[in-house]
Amino acid sequence: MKNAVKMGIGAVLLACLSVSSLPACAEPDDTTAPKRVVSMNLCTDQFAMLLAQEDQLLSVSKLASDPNLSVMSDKASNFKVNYGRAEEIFLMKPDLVIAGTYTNQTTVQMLRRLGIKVVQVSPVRTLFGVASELRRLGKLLDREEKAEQIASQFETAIQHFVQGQPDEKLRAGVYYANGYTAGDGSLVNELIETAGLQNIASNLGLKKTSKLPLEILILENPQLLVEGSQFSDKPALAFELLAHPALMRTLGNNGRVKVDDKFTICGLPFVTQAIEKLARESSRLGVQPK
Amino acid sequence: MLLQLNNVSANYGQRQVLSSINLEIGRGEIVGLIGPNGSGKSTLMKALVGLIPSCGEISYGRQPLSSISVKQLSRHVAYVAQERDVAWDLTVERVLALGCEAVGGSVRTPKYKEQRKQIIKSLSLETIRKSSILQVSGGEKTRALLGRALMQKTPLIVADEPTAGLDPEHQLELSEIFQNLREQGTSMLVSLHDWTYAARLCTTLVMLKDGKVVACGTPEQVLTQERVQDVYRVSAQIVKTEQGPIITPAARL
Amino acid sequence: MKYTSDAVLIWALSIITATLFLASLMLGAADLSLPQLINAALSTQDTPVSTVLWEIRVPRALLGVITGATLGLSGAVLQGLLRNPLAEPGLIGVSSSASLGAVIAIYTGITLTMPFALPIFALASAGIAAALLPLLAGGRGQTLTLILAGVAISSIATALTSLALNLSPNPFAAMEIVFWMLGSLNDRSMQHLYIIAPFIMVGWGLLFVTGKGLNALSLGEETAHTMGVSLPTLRFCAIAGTAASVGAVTAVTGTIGFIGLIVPHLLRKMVDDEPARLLLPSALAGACLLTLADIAVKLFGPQSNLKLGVLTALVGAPFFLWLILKQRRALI
Repeated sequence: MKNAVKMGIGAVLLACLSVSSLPACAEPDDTTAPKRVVSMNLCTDQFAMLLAQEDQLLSVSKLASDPNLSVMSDKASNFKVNYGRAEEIFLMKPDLVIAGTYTNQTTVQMLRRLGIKVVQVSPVRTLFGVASELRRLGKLLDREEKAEQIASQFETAIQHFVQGQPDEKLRAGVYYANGYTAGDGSLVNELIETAGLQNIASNLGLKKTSKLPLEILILENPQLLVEGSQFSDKPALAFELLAHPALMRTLGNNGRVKVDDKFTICGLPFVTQAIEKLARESSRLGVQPK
Repeated sequence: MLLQLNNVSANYGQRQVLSSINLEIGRGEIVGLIGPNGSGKSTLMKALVGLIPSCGEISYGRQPLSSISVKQLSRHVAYVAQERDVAWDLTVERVLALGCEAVGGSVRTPKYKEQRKQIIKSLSLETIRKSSILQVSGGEKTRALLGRALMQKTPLIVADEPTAGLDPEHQLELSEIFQNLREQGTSMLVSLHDWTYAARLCTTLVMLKDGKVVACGTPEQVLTQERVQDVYRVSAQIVKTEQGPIITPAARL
Repeated sequence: MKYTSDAVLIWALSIITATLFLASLMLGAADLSLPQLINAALSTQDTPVSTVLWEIRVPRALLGVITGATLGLSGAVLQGLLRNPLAEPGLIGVSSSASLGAVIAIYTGITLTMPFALPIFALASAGIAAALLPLLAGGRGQTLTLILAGVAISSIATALTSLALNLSPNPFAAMEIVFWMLGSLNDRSMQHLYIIAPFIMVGWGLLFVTGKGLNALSLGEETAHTMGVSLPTLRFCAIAGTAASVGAVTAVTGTIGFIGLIVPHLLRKMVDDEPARLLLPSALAGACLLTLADIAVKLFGPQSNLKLGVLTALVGAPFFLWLILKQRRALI
């Protein structure tokens, strides 16, 4: 019975992934590959760094070099930094600008008015989206081969996690600063489920990022508390809640795992590292009688 | 001697506002401080209750002021300030009680109740004892605040312009009250502007000008035509009567 | 006669406080029934319900009572000290300075190595403000200059807090602003209470001894002096007591306004306008009012995310307005 469910999830996931490999994108078909690419968004920065050919990518955003936010902060130092202003980006004479859908609209419109091609990428919120975004951007950058390679590697890894799920799933509570949690429809929720845990927020019917009162979290008796890293190493009162005695009493020092935010801010292939860590915690705690 | 001042001076910044004041007040005296505006009457009163710093010697009994704590001082002298602004809506009775509590008395003792009854009677506060201090008339308020000072049961009361803002009837009423108090053995130091009133009320007058004592003695000795001209820069008419002199300002010089 | 009426008032307020305290324990984000809570309270077993009760609800309710009492008491003392019905702890800059201290402690990262640093910084900062106050106000410490100095200190502290949050590299800074400006009792723990308890005790002690002096002060500063009240001592007790107790609660709850302003007014007539008799009832009524406000916050539900300080301000601001109109009528 349990196995059947597991297979079912696997099949659905696989189906999703295979659909994504079809050339479904409707980007305008440029015959020539872009040679001067500028990225303006933390997530697209990292996609671009993963995919672009040497010398193809000119500049990434400031955030890309922040080790707390970016998995590829080391590599980001190889590129010029931009602060998302139309003027500096225009002066770089790019032939393709990749921005997020939440990038400042006036800047994007200004660049378009100046005759620069701007592609906006919406935030990836699913594992399926990671692979499809890789392939779409690969096509855009004329790097389809590289994209396919990374995407299929990613899909294999995910498949591996899905097949390795435990019979008894631990109750995991995601708890961020100020008492926020990640529920249905969030990337973190999918990471937790793929790692073989059940997400308390999702059990409670919470959607996306929403507030989870400490009382309710405690009453759900979590076996594992998934914390964000402290977003940046700068301290803030917002994290005090994570040290609340009620949590200490419920979990002791054992049932906590910290998933660095840089792995969960953007839907990148690196999310497998977060799943890996969660799955490891899950099996570690699973063998101990709680 | 209840109060003795020996060579007392005080400064506001660079300006000397009191210089070399000598003064003595004994039992049963009503000492009037007179002098033009800015002559130092209020300053002298504040200095001798320790509200402003001064040099020279001020002593109560034989005790110098500097060695008397604020707490102890409240048993030597009670002060009725010129400012009569009461912050809260207290009843007249309550205001009297504050005077008693200041010197450690309890309003629940029979001794206190007797004392309060007497003071209320002597100040004719019976009708307003339950009224708010903020709603009584000026004369009533002055009497109530004086009553508070009397409740401290001190041998000396210092009152800064107690007659200010009172109509003639209430001024005379206050005068009677002061006379009665004196008969009971309480001494008083009051600052006044009305010469006639001062002459009739006080046993001793002290005239100040520019922070110095220019005259001290009985009202007849102090309030002479020449001195009034000299100190106040007005000519005055002085008519001697049996109740004391009537002194009216006539013209500016 | 009035002493019995005082006793009645104090007993009534105590009973209301206790009732509201219990009501506050019964309310929370989680829907727990009374039998469940009683079971958890009586059993020695460690269940999720008992954890919620002892670690979340009890500290919050206690903190509500303590914070309300502190604000009510210091409001009553300051109104007496400044002889002004519009005075409250926020006016002399203690709350905003405590917030500034807490913000500095957080953003310099000291709290990471020393968890006690936060309340200590908040208290130290409130202490500095309290020490600056008489200096700024001048040696004689006249009431008006004292108020002006308080307003100045308060604005400087608020400006510096905003600056610290503005320059903070932490993306949660905006939420912190919300916390320090609006105040909340949410998910504070017993540890917070243990840290601030000594300061609260000292502060309350200092505030309660001002009673007699405040009574005398209602006749004016000069008169009070000749009634055996040492004004410097009185000011010290009132301001240091406020700094210690309000500083301590602000370190944990953020700035909660208006309680200290409203409470003394609600009670003043019941104690015949007498400052000394106002103190204990104000502390109790402050506890009631703040607990009541917190119950309202809980009833709005966790998702509404309504902050306690916003609620007290929503109720308090119209009250303030009414007070001004009343004062204006009194002047005419």
